[in-house]
Amino acid sequence: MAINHWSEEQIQEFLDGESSISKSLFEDHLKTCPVCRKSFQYYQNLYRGLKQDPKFQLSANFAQALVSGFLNLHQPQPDSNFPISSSEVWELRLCWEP
Amino acid sequence: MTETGKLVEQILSGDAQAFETLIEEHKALVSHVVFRMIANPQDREDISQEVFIKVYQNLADFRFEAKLSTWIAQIAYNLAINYLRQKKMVSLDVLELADDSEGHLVSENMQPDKTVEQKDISRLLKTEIDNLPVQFRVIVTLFYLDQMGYNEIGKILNLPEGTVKSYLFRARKLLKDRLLSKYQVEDIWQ
Repeated sequence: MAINHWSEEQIQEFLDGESSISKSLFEDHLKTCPVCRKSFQYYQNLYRGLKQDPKFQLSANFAQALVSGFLNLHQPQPDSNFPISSSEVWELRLCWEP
Repeated sequence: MTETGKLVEQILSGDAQAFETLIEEHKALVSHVVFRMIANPQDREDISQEVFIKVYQNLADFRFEAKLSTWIAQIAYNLAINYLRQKKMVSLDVLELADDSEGHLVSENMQPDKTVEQKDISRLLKTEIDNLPVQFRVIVTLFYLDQMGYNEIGKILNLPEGTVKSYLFRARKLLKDRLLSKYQVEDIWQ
């Protein structure tokens, strides 16, 4: 059977390690097909970029400030009404669903 | 008892240091979710604080049916979505995509005339991630930065596993297409 080009979905699945296509078949085609090779390289670089740390940073003393500021006022109160229970969190999420 | 179980028990017994440990262990995860969803710096910090306050207040109800990190990420996602809705920054048609979602690598009306340096790629990618629908942003973030699987991400966003996989595929295709349509990245992406 003649192979045309790998679809973008097939390329992504291969890079995710979820491809049903054998590694050798996939790579042999890449060696001979510049179109698929180019698409593969784009995705390979995209995957690499997505793994890079975006350096999201909370303030340096975030944990300490939160604990010292909050725990002085509150203790865990599973039966309290303040301000929302975990079951209400899930109910809210249901409301948010499109 | 697991380490997480011990930590939760310590917090519930009033151990402030244990709660600080929980925050330190999960603040990167929370910042990944919240920062990807919310642009305003002060609001990001406030929502992140709110996440941990809610974790603390509801920790006694945590039943270990999911991983603690999954539960915390769920709270972060829900609070951030609630914030966006209050600000009218997200609507029910959150997943409506622009017409170019299935577009070609280089659109006809947009020439890739901006040459970019390697150092700019991360910044450009971040910009394009920020332009994705909010659920796509969170899925990409949890998958790549927090190494979560489809199932775990699905629990956080309350989506079926197959939907998460489909959104991830569409997000990556959008990112690739948009980067290629706007910038001359071919030279450095080969």
